[in-house]
Amino acid sequence: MNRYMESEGFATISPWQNLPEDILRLIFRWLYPATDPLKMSAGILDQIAKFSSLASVCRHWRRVSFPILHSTAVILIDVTYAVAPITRTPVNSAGMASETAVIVRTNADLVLKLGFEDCARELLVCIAGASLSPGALLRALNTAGLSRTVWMGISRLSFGTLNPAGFAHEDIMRGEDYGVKATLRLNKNLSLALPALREITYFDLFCRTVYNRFPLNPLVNERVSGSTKLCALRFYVDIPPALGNYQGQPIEVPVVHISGINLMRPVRVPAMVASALVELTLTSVPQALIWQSFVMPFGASGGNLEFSCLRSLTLMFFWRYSFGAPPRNMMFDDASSDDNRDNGSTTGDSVFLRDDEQEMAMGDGYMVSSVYGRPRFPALEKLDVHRFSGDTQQFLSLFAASPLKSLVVAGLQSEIPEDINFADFASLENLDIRYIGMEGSAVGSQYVARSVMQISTTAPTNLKRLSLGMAIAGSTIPFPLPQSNVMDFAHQLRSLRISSSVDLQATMLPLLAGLPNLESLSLESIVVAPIRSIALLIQELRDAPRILPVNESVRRLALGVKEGAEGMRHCQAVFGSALDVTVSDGLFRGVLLELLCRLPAADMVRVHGASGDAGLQKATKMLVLAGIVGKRSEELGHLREMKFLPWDAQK
Amino acid sequence: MTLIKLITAEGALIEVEQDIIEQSGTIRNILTDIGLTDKPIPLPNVSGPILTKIIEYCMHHRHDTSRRRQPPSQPALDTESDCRESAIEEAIAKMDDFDHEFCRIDQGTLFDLLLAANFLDIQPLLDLTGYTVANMMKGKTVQEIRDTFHVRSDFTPEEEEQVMKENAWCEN
Repeated sequence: MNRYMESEGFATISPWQNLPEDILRLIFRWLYPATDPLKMSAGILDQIAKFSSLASVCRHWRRVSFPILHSTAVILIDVTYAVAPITRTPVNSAGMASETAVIVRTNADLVLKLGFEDCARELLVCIAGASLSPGALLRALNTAGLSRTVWMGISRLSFGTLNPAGFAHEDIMRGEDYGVKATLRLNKNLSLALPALREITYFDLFCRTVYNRFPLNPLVNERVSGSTKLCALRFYVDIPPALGNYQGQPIEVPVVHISGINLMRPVRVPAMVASALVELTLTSVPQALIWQSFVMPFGASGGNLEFSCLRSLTLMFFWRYSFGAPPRNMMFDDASSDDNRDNGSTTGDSVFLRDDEQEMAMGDGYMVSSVYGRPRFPALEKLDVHRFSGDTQQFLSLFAASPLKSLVVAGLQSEIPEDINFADFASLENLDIRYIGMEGSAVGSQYVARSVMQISTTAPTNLKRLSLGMAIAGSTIPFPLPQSNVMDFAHQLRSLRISSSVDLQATMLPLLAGLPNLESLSLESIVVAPIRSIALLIQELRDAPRILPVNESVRRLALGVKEGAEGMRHCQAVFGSALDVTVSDGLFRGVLLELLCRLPAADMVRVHGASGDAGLQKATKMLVLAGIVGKRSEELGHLREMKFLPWDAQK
Repeated sequence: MTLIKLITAEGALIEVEQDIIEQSGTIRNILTDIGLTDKPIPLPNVSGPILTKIIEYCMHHRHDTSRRRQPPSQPALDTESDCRESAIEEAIAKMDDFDHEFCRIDQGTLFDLLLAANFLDIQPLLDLTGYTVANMMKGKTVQEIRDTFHVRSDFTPEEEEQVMKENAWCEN
């Protein structure tokens, strides 16, 4: 290759032009966007368009990239306008409020035009905005070209919603777009266009937007012989009644988010296969009975409930706090005996949760199902517990057998005991403790100090990321930082995030000095004590003896600024994704300077969100100037780059 | 500690510890098939400098068993990578300092490493070099890609016109 570069120049074909197909394909695969519904971006069509440039480079690259380029037919249907008030206008032939109500973007027409429909292996249909009636959905699909050919290669259909905007306004829809006939028409057309369909993946189906109508149900039941998957399912307030009908058996879905189903009337939770679950979030679902909506797969031995693939579990109990009253309990019952089922759901596979006066005990009892006993989480890596009002220590101990790598605990003083102990979690790498409702009082500070000390002494030696924070804006009481000499994990720690006021001189710098391998430091709401002007700081630095570095592992520095409350400017500095500082405007300059002098490895500064703020830019540049022209150049002269970027460029 | 003898394309003999070079699926298969041997294994497609570079990579990752099990496109659960958009961003974020330094090489060496990693069947190195090359293509226009990789357009005028028409879709 080098010989070609030196001797042949452009006279002969570049080796890259003849790279073996399998290697070139491997490289191109890295550039093709993710089509996995759980990973894909809303901008997938733009990403595919960018990928297509590879096909324009030369014949060889075109030949290799084309099958990848046309492997997925994407149809994006934007019905956002359909839910806006402005759409309450005369109905057009499309059944929508106006011609612009439904916008269809697709690459399918290009695939068809080029005759590459046989390359397509997957059809991705995403609906953004309100739900579509079966009739309107069919029209949108046909607009994209679905019915113009038979897609012999497509075996997988992914169907779901992006950015759901709310409910459809049925009063502006045509009646004939609903009902059995419309649904059958849609399914018939799909089955004709996709004769090789073997798998349907539903993702992000929101209650009352798409799932209630579930227009592909007949297609699943009558035409698709293979398995059908649900990728992600989110319930808010209500449970879609059609869900219980899903193939007449418990559903398998990797990602489930359930919020606020604590209703005063009976609600229905679909029976879900526990072993299929990868991520579960329960928000305001404090009832232990929720575990009874999960079942073991048919044929599994034993009656115990095991979430064998669950890696992330988030439990948010703030319902009790927010509403100021204990939750009314919900009881499971046989669906067939309930008179309150709605919308014609007739299956017995879903589970009814019934309002009940009986209060379920919190604490240990929450993690017990009367049917299955205590659920097990043998693969759980990430656990978030928010506002648990029972015995938190005992509650956490229920997960001691799980291979937890990340643990988040957030709560009031009564919910995070000051003697909390993390010694049981030997595999823990990421610990995040968030104190809520500490009003900056002396009592609160003493409690936090004791709690932080306990965390520092009991966290496992493998801990790599520690985050401590108080949810109070503007508090000037310094957060009681731990001391590195009591941390068994001090040498392992790579990332530290403090979200509260910090006494930089008294506690932060000594702590930094004891963390020799720290790569990432994030400070928010920092207060420098004593507060000095930047001019005074520069003067002090010039006159002071050599400032010793406290940390030599941080290499890059970025500073972010965004508007906060009136009169207050919140600033955020990030050291190479590494250091965050959020302070008021007048303070951050001093913080930055104080830290820069002590972080000799930091060689790049980025300022985010500072565009248009000349004063801030000038002040920040003074930091560099101070280092370059002053005798402290050995401390500050290492800065190689300083950039000012708008806030949205932070990532 | 068993040493495996390898013969480079230039005919030079290089000895390397078995557990290091067994990250290569090709070498592992050869050793499985013929058993441990004193006879050198010829690698006619791999030059001495490239083999040395590969051994350096394998030595660094000799204890990194998770890397062998898990391709970077399927990263472990990590809250810091939750927001990344593409596999390539995810993969680059997972690179350690060694990998970053390792890939700071000229294009010719990168090309030869890519071929050698493919020949020797070292999947993590193939991924590393693959997404390093992919990253060089990312966000570039067609002409910029051609310039970067010294690739000439070999389309006929008719094909060129067809390409232009297709690109019109991309610009919409």
